Amino acid sequence: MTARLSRRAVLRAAGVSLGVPWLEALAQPAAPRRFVTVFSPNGTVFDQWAPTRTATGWTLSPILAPLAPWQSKLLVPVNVDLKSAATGPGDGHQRGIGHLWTARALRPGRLFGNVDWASGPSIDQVVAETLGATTTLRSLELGVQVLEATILSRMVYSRDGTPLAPENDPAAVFDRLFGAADPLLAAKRRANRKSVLDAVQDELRGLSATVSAADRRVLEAHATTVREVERRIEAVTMPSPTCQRPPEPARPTGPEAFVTLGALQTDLLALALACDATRVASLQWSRSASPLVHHWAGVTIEHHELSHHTDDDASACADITAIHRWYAEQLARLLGALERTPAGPGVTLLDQSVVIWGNELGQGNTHSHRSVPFVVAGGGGGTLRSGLLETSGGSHAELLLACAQAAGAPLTSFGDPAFCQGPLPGVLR
Amino acid sequence: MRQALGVDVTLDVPDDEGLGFSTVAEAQAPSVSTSEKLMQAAERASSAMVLATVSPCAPSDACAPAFISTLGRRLFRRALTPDEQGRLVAAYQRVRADNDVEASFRLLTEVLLQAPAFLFRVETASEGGRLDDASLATRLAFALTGEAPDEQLLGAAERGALQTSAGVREEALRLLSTPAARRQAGRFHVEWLGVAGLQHVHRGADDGGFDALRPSMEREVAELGAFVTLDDRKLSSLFAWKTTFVDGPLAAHYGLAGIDGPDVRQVRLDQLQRLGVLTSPGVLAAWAKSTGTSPTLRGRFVRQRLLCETLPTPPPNVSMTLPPVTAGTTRQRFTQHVADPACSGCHLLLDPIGFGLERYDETGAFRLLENGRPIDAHGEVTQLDGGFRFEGAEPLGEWLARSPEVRACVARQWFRFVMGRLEADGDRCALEAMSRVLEDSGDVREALLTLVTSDGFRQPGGSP
Repeated sequence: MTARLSRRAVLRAAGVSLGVPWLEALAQPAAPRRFVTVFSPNGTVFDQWAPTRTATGWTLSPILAPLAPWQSKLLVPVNVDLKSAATGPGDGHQRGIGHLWTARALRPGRLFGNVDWASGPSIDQVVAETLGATTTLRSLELGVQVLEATILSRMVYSRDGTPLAPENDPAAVFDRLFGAADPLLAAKRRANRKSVLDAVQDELRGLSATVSAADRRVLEAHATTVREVERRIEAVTMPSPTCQRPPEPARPTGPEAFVTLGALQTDLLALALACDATRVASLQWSRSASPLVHHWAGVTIEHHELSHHTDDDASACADITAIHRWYAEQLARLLGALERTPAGPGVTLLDQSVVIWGNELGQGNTHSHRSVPFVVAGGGGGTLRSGLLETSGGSHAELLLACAQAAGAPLTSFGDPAFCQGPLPGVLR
Repeated sequence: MRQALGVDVTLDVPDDEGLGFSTVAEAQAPSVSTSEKLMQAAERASSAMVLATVSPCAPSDACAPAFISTLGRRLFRRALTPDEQGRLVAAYQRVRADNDVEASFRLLTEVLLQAPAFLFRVETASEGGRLDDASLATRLAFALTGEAPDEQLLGAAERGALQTSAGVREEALRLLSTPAARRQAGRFHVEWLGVAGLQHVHRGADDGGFDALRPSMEREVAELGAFVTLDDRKLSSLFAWKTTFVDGPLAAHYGLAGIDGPDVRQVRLDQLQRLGVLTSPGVLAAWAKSTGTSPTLRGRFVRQRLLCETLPTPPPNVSMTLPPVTAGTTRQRFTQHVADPACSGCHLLLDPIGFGLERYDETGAFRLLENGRPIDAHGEVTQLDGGFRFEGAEPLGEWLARSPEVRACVARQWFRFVMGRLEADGDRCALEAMSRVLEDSGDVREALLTLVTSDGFRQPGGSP
């Protein structure tokens, strides 16, 4: 798939200057960038997570060791705080996941104790306004067993603060990306779906005219989602050397389903980026305060329960380390897939990407929002630095702003402006 | 969909849960993913339906308008407006250009299943500002059955039979005798008592068959809830009844001999230390941890869910430390952990209630020993009734069965579930009337009838 360029872009390429308005498509570098956010829950064990500086450079920590093959493409900002999470309603976990990608106070309310949902967009949705303009899918929200539907289970929010549920089912993601295998069948289905949804839009418009202003807003929000579904239908993912239709995924079940689902979702995410079906994606592992038992990592206690350990409880610290190391291995799977995908002469898809791995807490037993374990991977199309970045209480809003800028989004601030003076120093080249 | 098309299609979208109930409208957010799944579900349903049984006439172009108006009325829960009928017939003609008649009927069914009049409950007021009859019928049906109005209720609305509260009561009583009302009463209890959360509970790799038991546990609570609401009609039975509903696997979990197979039956618990829903394995397991029981969680269950108390969240910077799991009893571990004055304020409200339930482990199985030590099941509900002291679940169940706080709380919980929103100032009359019924007779069904025949129930919008 190619980006849509207007006729004026062609004129300018031919050296004809017409003084045309700024064109987003031209502002994009030849090879488009990708933006990915990844979440895993419940805080970390700081001294097992933080890399160390050495005489000649820096070394990864026990938790981050699985990322070693891409160390030269990693930026690990240490001591970044969710500063905005000191404001607004919600308990530690609610504020953690609600602020993580939005960096602003939650909406007060009573749906979940003393809060409703987040109050503004998550960074991925803001970046999608730029990067998602020309792709099949504006963005792709994936989850791994995000079972409930409460504020603890939502991290992606649209511009008006509507929570966007992640897709947990790899088969549904596959269908969205690749659809029916038979091209004739696929074309027929596409045409019929479009007719059906056009008629649905007519009904939405018809009903809108008869209801109150508040209800009209609800219907309009729904109509917007239907339009986005229509857009997905019209798009066809074209095979290319970097984009092959994979076999249709099976539905894993059983106690180890989390592992299999995670691998499938990771691979589909990488493929969606490789196919340029979307340039913005997120992957959410379980949820804030996750009670998952990570047997496969050798752990027998619920994750959330474990995270309330004492600092001197060596066994709990070892378990938490094992859990986060396992999540680092899953991130390694994603980074590996991106690194194997060429994106131009001597450039891989990882070089073009900005991947941010975050957590809603710094430390589980205190519900602290300080020293939250962020990792930034990828080259951002040559805009991102790599290495160990020791901040002294950097604001995560500034980190997110820098990452969004690295992905090419024309932002000058993000989240609550009180916590965002500009891009976090040391992130951008 | 099941009602109108005769097909069951699962929609793989979790209902967003506000206030602990899946019926709360404010928590339902539109999303692309949901709309996409609605589309896919509509496609599955329309291809699975038997057209001959759904269509009023043999499918043909001439039949199309009648098909649209018939199915539209069932799905929209009211007759189509002329505008709607016109638009949908035009849509039929458009899809018919590229499809045969049967395919076009199925595509129109997909349109109806994704139309806002089907997906949203649109309420309209008549003159005087009260809900019109069709809107009232829809509200009534969803409140009592969780489903759209059936043919009889639609007919009653069209006849004007819902104009009087006697007419509403008659229809409500009829609805309450349907299987759907039993399912709805069961669903209320499963959500209210936190048992819906069981499906997300992990009990470790070596769970002793816990995973397989979860559906039986949930069914027991649903059956018990439906029985108390619709058959026995005494709220006190929910907490103080020596009978329950088990299938073979759950009977074995209870230690009841001679009951096999998947069929659920009513059994007496005479020889067992069990009483009411408080000792049902579903409730006991839902309010526990993978690593063991949690007197704190069970105390929170009683305070928040049964007594409707508001509890503060734990202070942000405390370490919620637990000593190792292997030594001593849970009571000993928790007693040490609340010695810290920063924690004791809340935990003294919660833990002593849970201590009284310590003879049931994290799967709800009965036990007398923990790690080889005898279990002390003395407990206390502090600050209420002069501090109610008890030993074991049975006196606690009996105390809950006669507690006025529980009765007022049940009225509020049913109100939230049925109305899909939090109670507001304007709802005081309806809530007091419900509470009064529960005070006088404990008849939950009568309290529901009181709610749906109240003036407030006829008011459009969120709050009366």
